[in-house]
Amino acid sequence: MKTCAQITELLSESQDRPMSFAEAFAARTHLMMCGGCRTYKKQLTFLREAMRAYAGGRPDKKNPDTSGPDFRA
Amino acid sequence: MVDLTDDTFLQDLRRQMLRFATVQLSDSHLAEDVVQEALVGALKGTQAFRGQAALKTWVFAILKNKIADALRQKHRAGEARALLHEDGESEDFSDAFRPNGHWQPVSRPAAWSHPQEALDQTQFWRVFELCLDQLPVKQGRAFMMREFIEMSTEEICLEMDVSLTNLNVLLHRARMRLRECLNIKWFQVGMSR
Repeated sequence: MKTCAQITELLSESQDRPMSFAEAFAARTHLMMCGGCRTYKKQLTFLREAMRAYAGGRPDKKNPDTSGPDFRA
Repeated sequence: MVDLTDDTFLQDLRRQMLRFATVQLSDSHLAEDVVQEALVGALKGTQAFRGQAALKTWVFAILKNKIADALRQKHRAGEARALLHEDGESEDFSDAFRPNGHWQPVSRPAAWSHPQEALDQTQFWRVFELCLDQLPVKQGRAFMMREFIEMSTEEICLEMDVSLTNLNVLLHRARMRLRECLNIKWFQVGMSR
C-alpha cells in the first residue's frame, strides 16, 4: 500500500511518462480512498493547463492562434 | 503568414523569451542579449510561417541553442558554480506528511474554488509569475524546460546533465512548491476575497 508521499511522486511522474500497470493500479486504489491525493491530482492537472496557457500567451479569444496547445512542435 | 508588424504579438513573444532565458541563465543581462540575438536571427530568415504558433516554435528553438551556447561559455569561464547555489533545492516537503507517509492535516490539499476563472484574471497571472520566480534555480530550470517549451525528460537530462531519477525529484518538488505557492498566495486569499 503506497503512502500519500509516494503517490504525489507518482502523480508527478505520470505527467512525464506513461505509468506501468502496477503503478496505475496502485494510484487508482489509493485515489479511491484518499481525498487529499485526489485533490492534489486535480491541482497538478490545473498547473499544467495554466503553464500551457502561460507559454502560449494568455488565453485570448480574439486571437486563438496564440493559445496554448498550438505551441506544441 | 505572420504579420511581423503586429507589435503586441512580438512584445508578448519577447517577454516570454526573456522569462525563459532568465530562468535558464540566472542572469538577466545575459538573457537580454541572448533573446536579442535569437530574435534577430529568427526574423532575418525569409521563411514564411503558417501562423504565430509556428513562428514561436521556431524562435524558441533558436533561443534554446543560444542559451546552450551561453551556458557552455559560462562553464568555460568557471562561472558554473554560480548556477549551482542551492537555496531551497533540498527542501523535500517531508514535513507535509506524517511519519507514516500520509498528509499532515494542515498540508492536505483542499479543493480550489473556480480555478478556471483564475485563468482569465490578470492578477492571477501576476501571482503565477511570482510563484515561478520563487522556485529554486535548478527546479525552475527543469520545470520551465518541461512545461514551458515541452522538452522531453531525455532532452532535459542531457541539457542539465542529471539522471532521470534526479530530474523526477526536481520536477516533483517544483510542482509541489508551485502548487503550495498558488494555494497560499491566490486560492486561500480568494476565500476571503
